[in-house]
Amino acid sequence: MRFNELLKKNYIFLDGAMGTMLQAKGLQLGGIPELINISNPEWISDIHKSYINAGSDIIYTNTFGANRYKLKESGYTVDEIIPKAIEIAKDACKGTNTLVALDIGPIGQLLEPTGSLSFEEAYDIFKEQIIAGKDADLIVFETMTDLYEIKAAVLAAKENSKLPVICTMTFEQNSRTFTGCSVSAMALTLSGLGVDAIGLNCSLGPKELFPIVKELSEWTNLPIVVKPNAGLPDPVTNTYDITPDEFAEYMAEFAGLGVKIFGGCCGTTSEYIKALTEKLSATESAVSSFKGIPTAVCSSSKTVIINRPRVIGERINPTGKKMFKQALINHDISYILNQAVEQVNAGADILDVNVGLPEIDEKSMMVEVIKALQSISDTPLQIDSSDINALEAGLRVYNGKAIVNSVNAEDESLDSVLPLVKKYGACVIGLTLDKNGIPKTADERFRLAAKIMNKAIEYGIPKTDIFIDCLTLTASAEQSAVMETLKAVRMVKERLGLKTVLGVSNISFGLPVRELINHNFLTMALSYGLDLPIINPNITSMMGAVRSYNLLANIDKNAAEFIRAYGTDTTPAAPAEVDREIDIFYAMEHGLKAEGAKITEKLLNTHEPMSIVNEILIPALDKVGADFEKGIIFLPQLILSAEVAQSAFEVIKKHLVKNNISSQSKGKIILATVKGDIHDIGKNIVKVLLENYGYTVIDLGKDVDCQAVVDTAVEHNVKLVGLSALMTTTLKSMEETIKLLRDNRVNCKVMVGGAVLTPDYAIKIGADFYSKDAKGSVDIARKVLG
Amino acid sequence: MINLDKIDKKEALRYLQCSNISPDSSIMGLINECEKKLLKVIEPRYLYSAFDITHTENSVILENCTLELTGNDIRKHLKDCKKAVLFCTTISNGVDKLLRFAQISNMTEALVLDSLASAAIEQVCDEVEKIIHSAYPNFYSTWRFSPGYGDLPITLQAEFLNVLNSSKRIGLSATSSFMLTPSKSVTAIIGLSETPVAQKSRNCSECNLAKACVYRKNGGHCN
Repeated sequence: MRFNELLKKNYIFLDGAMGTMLQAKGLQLGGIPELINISNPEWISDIHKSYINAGSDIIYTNTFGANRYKLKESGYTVDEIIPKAIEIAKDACKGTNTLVALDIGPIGQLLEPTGSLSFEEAYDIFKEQIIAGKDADLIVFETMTDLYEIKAAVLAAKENSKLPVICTMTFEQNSRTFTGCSVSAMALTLSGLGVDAIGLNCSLGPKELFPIVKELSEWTNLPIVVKPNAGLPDPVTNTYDITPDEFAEYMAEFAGLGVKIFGGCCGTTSEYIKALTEKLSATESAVSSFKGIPTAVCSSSKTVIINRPRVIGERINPTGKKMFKQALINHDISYILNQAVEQVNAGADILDVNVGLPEIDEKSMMVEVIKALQSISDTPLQIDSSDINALEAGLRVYNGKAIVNSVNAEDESLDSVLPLVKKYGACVIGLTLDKNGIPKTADERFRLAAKIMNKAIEYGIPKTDIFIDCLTLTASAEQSAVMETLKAVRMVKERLGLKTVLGVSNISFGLPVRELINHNFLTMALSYGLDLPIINPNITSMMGAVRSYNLLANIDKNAAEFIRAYGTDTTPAAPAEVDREIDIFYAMEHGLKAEGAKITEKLLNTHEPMSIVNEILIPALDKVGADFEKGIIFLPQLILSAEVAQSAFEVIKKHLVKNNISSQSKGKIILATVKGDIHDIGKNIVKVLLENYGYTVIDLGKDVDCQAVVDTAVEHNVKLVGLSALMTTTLKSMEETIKLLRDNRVNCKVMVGGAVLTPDYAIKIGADFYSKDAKGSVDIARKVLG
Repeated sequence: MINLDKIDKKEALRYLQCSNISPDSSIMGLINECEKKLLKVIEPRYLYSAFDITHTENSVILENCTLELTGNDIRKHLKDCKKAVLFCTTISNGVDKLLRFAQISNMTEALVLDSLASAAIEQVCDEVEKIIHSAYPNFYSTWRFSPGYGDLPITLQAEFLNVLNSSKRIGLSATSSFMLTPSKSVTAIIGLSETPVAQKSRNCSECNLAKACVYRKNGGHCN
């Protein structure tokens, strides 16, 4: 019997709990259940047999936590435990048709960004388990709460095994997992990765899981798995509250939702499985019909359904942007993150991410930027690159269902991009152009769209995941082409039934009052059926055009969103109030960021940029710093003032870049939160202050390898390194980092700080300076760098 | 179920090191705004389990459990106790996400959020303690003693969490360097005794951070 033959049955039965049974047999709390495969294999065999006798079609091996991290202190390896567990299960199944599933649970450590385990390490851990478990009949990932972790697991399975894969995640009553993953995000992402069945296990009883399973059934056509607990646990005794018969009654109701695969988790025993199989044998299965799944993209916690115009923000892209290019070259990730925050606040539904620049390694930058973006924002991403390696690397580390931008109608492009789209389960934008360029007429573009669609379908990509960009040409150069583009949009939408995308801003190139043309063209395109405008959402009139369209097209019911965005104002905003006589000191003292920027802009008319920094901003900061030290103001006020100064600096930086004046940095400083330490708010505060004093901060982030500090210091010839540690356990890494700097004779001073440090200890571990707070780091920087 | 409907702002202000200064209205406004944001994402979750204990010469052993609590300080803490309750609690991942977002767009807000979140997890600990008290009404209990206090090794963290199965049940785990994730989380041990316990709260003498303590520097302490 194989899994795909098993699928012909009306219902498939899994087993019940393993842990519950092992504890009943005497497993101590905190003991490693997987070691029982070695110490008492007959316990495991008994448990398997009891489930087989109760009617299980598939049993799970006793390998839930058999990963290298959890077995670290056990004296056994993954290669010893997993094959043994499979052997026990296979023996128990002899003479039956029961299949053996290699059971894999979560690693037991949180992944980045909240935890410190990287996606790549997680992949490796799962890969080892999958290879060790090659003799199983199928692979099960269960009790997962982090979409990112299960994505690493599924990729490890798909790339190292041909066995079928079942995935079940654990949801709380609010229909979210502990890490905030939603049901739709799970379904979209895992279906895209090509697993064989998906569902839910653990956390709740069958009754409580019902609404969540119902939601899942609306998001997938895959066989659905339900493996609930025996009700809810008692907090003191840890026993579960429903009987086998009640369990079976509730479970039978899932049949009506089209659920195919049934089992039990914590608290269920063979009696529960027996009651379940008996009850369901007498229950008719719902005829499963193929249903339409909404076209949607997602991050792990946010799903954007493309059933109305959705805005793709275009700002994360260096093309034509000096500041952005410089940020990429300087590895200034926070600049890029700020671009994301701005666009999300302005109303972008999806963010396009393009980090292509000849001077940098696009692939590694793509990975870093995507990881950083998804750590702060749950807006789904569109991965935009002409470099196939960067595209794949981005798709791989993206936590959700992305859009690929883009493929064109050339065979070479189709054959390289579409397999990746299929493998990672993304949506794809097809550009209606080929080696002959962009066709003049709507008919020809339509023909190319059809070609792209057919090829994508051939590759197994669902039609709903294909979006077409009919391409905007510049009105000033090809005025007659404007309407051809719009006609093509309508044809693709109506005749092929595909969603459409257009980059809008290009339309006005070379014309005056570009904004006017842009938002009018956008409105026209929307009424021709454009679904996904790629625009700059920070421009008020562009978002205004989308919101107005949604209102007028009766999409934004009762104008609710429109009113939320614009309040009840019926007239344009009154002109800004006449400038009061406030200066930068006042703005800093009162935390007025926008004013700080405005004042600086004015100052630039009368002052040299660097004299503003040295003669106005820094003295102002000094005063605030002195007040802080005297206890007149406290930390939040100090930081608030620093943020006002930061907004002033931004204005000056823009001015310098615009006028091609190189900025005069006071010197470079590396900041890092040491290896093992993942709390970096203190370091980030130091960064804000140092930058305000005109130093260039190279922020290596948190959990930073000693070697990375050394390499960066050498590469950039850095004279001051700041290290932060929060825990007594990570002070060791601080010491090691300093030692490595010294051993490599890096000519730099080291300052250290953090809650657990003392001046004495700082000297003991070889630091040059102990900084008691953020202000202290500025004093040290002045001493070292001037 | 624990529900927080407000956060102890006085405590948060103390973490912001401004107990002696009265914050101006703009900072108070920010604190109120941050409190609202946090209350939206905080999901208090907790687990606890009580064990009968035996003292050995240099540790405390929990019955039917693999975890051994080593060191003099925990022995002293659990002196005369019949049981020890292990508990862990977290206000969840959403808080970390909010903190990360704020650190990009608004550092002052991040700082305030961080302090409020620290105050919130302490409030949740107080609630968990109350729940434990009501589950064991015939016992007197000690204050909360955490791995890393005194000579109780912080390296116990992973096994401590494993005993409670916290990763699976409330999404709380530890990194390889024993930091709890999500970050606003606590693990602690409470002793249950049939006779009144002498020491009601933690003091600076068993604190490893006493030397570097910012509160002590200003003539105060953290309790």
